[in-house]
Amino acid sequence: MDGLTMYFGNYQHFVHQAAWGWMIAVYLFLGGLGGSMGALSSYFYLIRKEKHPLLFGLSTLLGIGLVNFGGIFLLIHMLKPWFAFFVWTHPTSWIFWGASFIMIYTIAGAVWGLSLISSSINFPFSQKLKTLNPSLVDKLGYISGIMGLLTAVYTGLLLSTAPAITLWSNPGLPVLFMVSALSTATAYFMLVSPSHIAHENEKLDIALLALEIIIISAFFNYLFISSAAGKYIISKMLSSIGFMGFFVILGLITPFILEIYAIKKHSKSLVILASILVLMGGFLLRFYILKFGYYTYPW
Amino acid sequence: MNVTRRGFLKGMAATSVATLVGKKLLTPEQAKAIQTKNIQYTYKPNICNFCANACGIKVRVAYVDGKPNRLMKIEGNIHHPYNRGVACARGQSGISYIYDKDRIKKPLIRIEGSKRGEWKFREATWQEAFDYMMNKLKNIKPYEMALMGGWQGCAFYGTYLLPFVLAAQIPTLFGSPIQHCVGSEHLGLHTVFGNYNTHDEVVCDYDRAKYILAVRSNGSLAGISTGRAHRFGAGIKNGAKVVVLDPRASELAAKADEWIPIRPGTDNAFALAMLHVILREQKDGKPLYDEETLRYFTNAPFLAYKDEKGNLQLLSDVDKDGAVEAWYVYDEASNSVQKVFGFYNTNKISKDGKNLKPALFTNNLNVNGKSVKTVFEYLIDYTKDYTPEWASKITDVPASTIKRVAVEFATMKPAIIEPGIYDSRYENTIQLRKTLAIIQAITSGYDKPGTWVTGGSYKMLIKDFFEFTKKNGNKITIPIKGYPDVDIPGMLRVLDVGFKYFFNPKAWTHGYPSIQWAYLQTELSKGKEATVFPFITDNGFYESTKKEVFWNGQPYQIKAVFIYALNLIRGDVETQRWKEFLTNLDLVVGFDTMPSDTMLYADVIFPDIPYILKKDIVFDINTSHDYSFGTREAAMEKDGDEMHALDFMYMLSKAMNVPWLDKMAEIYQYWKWDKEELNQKCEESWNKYHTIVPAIRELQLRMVAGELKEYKGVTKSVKELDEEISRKGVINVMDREELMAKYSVPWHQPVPTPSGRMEIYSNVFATLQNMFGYKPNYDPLIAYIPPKWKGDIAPEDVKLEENEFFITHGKIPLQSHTCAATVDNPILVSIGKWREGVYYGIWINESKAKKLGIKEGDEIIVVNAMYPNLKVKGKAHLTKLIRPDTIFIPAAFGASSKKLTYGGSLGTPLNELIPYRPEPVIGGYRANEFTVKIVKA
Amino acid sequence: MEKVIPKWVFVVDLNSCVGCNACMAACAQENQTPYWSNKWRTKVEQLEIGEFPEAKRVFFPHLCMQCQNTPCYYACPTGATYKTEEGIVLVNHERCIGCEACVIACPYGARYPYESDDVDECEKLYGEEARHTTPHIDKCTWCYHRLKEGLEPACVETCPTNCRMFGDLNVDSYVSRLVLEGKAIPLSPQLGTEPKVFYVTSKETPVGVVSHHLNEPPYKQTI
Repeated sequence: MDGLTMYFGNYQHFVHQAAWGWMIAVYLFLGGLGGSMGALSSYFYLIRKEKHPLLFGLSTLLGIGLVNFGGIFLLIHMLKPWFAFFVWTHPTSWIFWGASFIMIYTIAGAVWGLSLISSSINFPFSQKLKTLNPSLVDKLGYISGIMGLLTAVYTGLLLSTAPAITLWSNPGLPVLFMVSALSTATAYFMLVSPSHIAHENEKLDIALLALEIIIISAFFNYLFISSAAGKYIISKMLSSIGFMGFFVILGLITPFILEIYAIKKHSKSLVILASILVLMGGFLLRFYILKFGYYTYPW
Repeated sequence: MNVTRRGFLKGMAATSVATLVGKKLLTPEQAKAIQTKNIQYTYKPNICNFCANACGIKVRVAYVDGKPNRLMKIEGNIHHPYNRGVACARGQSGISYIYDKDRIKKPLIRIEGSKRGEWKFREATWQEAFDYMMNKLKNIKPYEMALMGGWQGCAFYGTYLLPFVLAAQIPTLFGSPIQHCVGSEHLGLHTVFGNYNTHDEVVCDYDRAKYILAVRSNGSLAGISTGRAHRFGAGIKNGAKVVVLDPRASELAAKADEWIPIRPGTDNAFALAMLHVILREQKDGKPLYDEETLRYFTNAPFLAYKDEKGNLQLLSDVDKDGAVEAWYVYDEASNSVQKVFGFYNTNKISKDGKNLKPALFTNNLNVNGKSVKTVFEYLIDYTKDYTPEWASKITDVPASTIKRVAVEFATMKPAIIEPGIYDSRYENTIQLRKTLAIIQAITSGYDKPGTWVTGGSYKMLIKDFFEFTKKNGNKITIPIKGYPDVDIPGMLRVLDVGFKYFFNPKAWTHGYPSIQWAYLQTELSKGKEATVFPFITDNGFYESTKKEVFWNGQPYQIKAVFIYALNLIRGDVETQRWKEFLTNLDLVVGFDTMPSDTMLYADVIFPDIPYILKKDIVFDINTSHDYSFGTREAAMEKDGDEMHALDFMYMLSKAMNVPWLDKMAEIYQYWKWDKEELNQKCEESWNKYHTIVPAIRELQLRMVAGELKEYKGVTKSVKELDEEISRKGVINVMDREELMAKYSVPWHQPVPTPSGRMEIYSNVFATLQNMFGYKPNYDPLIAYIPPKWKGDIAPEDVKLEENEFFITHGKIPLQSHTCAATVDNPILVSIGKWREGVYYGIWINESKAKKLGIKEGDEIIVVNAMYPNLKVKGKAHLTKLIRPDTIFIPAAFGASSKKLTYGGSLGTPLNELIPYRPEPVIGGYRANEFTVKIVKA
Repeated sequence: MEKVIPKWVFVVDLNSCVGCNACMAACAQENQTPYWSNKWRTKVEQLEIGEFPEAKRVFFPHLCMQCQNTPCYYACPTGATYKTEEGIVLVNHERCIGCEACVIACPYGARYPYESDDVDECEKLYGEEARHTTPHIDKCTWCYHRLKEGLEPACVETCPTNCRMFGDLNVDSYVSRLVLEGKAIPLSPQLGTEPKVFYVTSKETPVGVVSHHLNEPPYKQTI
């Protein structure tokens, strides 16, 4: 038993969920990052018409790779991973949808990504891909982007189905995860893109980080006013150096300030530092959301 | 029987195995083999052997293709009138005891050259082990042997052990739990009610009680005595108020409407103050005590006087054999002194047949030249100073609370003071229990709905005995003449057997009394104090091996012991002493199922049949309010060379050439044995089945058939009864309501005290007083004995140092005194480990522990402040549920036998902290009469 | 005649639980749960409320609430978790892949993984009668197999103080009255899971209860 309150003769105690640990945090992080990479690639390439096929093609492929690599962690965590295909059975479960998003994202994104890079890199099938109808390729690009984004959102929805875990079972969490996921993806692009795209991403990331700070503050507010469990979680969060120091300060506020500063100074090294901090923050966010997943048990 | 429950299990097993399963892949043949297996389930009735309550259970056995394959589960037996179909955690866990790899299944002989305590044994055949034992016994005389039995012997086969020792001329019998389990409580309670029997025949009618007061007593209710807990639960649901005195919040205290964390060991003062209030307060112009009950069914109106030594004596007429012919009362109807019967249930009629109204209060009465008052008046005198204010200083309980509890108890009727096991014990335990029993008696809380209710078979024993006394002039001698010893009810049997055999050298051909009695005489001759009523206690055993016990001027020494299901090393106090004792013997014979700490010291161990695999004789269910009989059916074939205890005794009696069965028929007529028939049937059965159980069972069932015919008018053959009892496990002859209406005590027949009345003034204690001189420990009326934590410092003046504590111990629901069987049970250990601190830790008040820098789970050493060489190690459990000045240690853990795989190292060996200091009446341990100091390890 | 589907409810009277753990031992054997790994389908929590001398020791038994509105069922992607017509939530051992989404979703801590090591131990202990032959997420079934045989759940049958009670809302009984009259209340009702285990928290004097098994619905006796 971690914490205990009593009111009007009823009891509540708060027990940390022990089922999901750092492996699932990695899965959630990579799912969010990889999905958002695909989403941003499609966005920049197809909507913003940034014609960098190699960059966005490879980024999509890398995103798919990360999502599926993260999926391995989920599989390892299962009791019977070799029966994992059973997940496509029961559509009330978010895992059903998540697995579907990831699968469609993987297929659509792979074709799209490969066809983007096929002009610059030769590999088996590359000639065949070049012959594909460009409008089909574009459609696949849109599908890939949407599925990537849904994959990122899904990581939040997955957690929100636990009604007794105050921190998770709220509509804010998927939004937070989506914003954070997009933010990590922009950080990725800030690291690897040519300067004007990096700059675009930097501006986007400033907005996303601002949004994330607002959402995190809203979470604090929600937890503080909502319930005894919320207050308990707040007290745990505030007393955690890892959460407050490494996530909130170093992983969220510092890159936000650095990026604003970097925009003014056009400092590449600050941008690199900020991106790394954002990526770290993205992982820590998920790690701590799992860590502060306290059940409120009525005994 | 044989309710077939095919289907779900088979289905589930089959489908799952037939599929590709994880890393296991079965061949289609294997899968098919399982699929086609015909699994059926059968229930076999049994009697639980995990504590002394002997609940009825049934064992589910899986049959594969018609053959018993595996024991699956235990459930309560709904037909059993004691536990009514429920079973506790211990009872549930019996199956894993059967499959425990540590269990002894073959006779074992200690390897030549090894020392006792080392556990170096080799397997042997029965014949070899038996010959080994007999060979060693050759040079040992019967009076140098002793039978040491645990509660199993006591609860199930005690009445068969007695004829054995009488036949074999072995005068020394030792029942382990008596001193640290129930001895003091039973003696205290049942000097008033006479209800002293082998095991717990008073089960209160909690269902219908309105008020339940418990002084500690966790073990007998919530901690857990299943049949009682079951009734207790119903009582709570029916709205009974529960008040518990306990320094820590036990399972029972957790259920209390009012938990009073009294200072440990001061309950005696609390009880006396309660009595003080009940004797003096009034409600609606009426006294709180029940005047009618006192007048007619207790000895409160008997006239008493102080003799020249200042001892309180009852006025009586005694015949030439020493039997009391008459007691004296003052009749209010005729304003004259009248005589009433020596042994009878009521004072309503005088010896010469007049209707009486005996007075509780007299006025300057003089009889036979003696100034007399009634017992009741003396009781009021004696309690004069024991005011709630006085008790408050000692007990740390507000005077107003004591007063309120007393008034509530006497007015919220029916009310119960839990009579059962008291856990911790002090020198004052006997007088405490006696005072509580007096309170129960004077508020008329006996053998009525919602109060203490005596067992059904017990009432029937009294019935026969009452008829015998009526024929003999309504008087009895002690020992009792002309009546089968084992059939005598309650306290009278204890007195009879004690004074007729164990304390009487003339009863034995060799002229030696029991070692306990010889030890008492030796000590008395040296002017020292010893236990004056050493009935099957452990007094003198150790001293005898040190050649410190004498009889007729010669050293009297115990040289060989038979240990049956008794864990001396863990159950008795001061382990080192008993290790030394066992080491100094010539022969130690063990008869047990588990390699307990004590079995390590045996020379030869015979395997007992574990209860689930045992087909047993018939027992009368003395814990039940109904008059019923129960038995065990073997759920499966025994899986080794185990033997029934009675068969072992049979073999032994043949080998020693002693007439065990003859003696049994002589002193144990309850089953209506016929000597010749018993011998003949047993021999036939032995030759045929290598066990005498079927023969004894057949004869017992014949008696049951007779009872059924007599009381129910039902004619059933022995065969029919055998079939019924094998199927249901229980045969009911008469139910509670009928028994209460016809045979309740003392309302219809006497209680088995020396006078037949509920004895406010105890004639048993008066006898001890007259034999050995006065001591408050056996004051016939009441006495206050303060707890002596620090020598003679009065409890209210005791100051504790910073790291010094009082100590209390008690039972927890996962453990009982069943040798190693519950300690080493994997399921119970798993449950216990989940709450390791609560069940295996040493409880310390949280804020106090913080001051001492002790954290949850810290290793600590508990040192006996009075005897600093006694210390134990354990883990601290920090809790808000205990007094800051007290620590609590759960009882019966801390085994050290390496042969116990699961629970061998768990908990604290409490008994190594307790010095061997028996109190002077029945040798009860003063187990908590010291303080301890806590040091971090 | 139309078939009447029982509306089973489970009532726990907190006033009479003495914390003896009989239910845990009974369940562990009836359902072959991995007690060796300290995993249980039902538990009796022990709480300490308040400060000495007003401190109170509380025993709190809990098990699967068989929620009508079932989070674990919704969270299960494989369909291994399913509901019987009586609303009992069960797990198909073969179908379960052990993703633990249901473990997370359960608001009452009723689910735990029956891991591969546990399966090995189970098969070692119970041999041919082993009922857990593949790793899966395990949970309390209210002893569905026993209910089908007309027997009470193992924990109810053995509960020494009759703190655990079982009944059918279609049948008038002490148990159904406790629920229908609102004397027994569900846990965490704000979550909206509509649990079917109800708790009696306040002590009062109900009418007509004397003893367990005397006023029970006609559950079968086995011997």
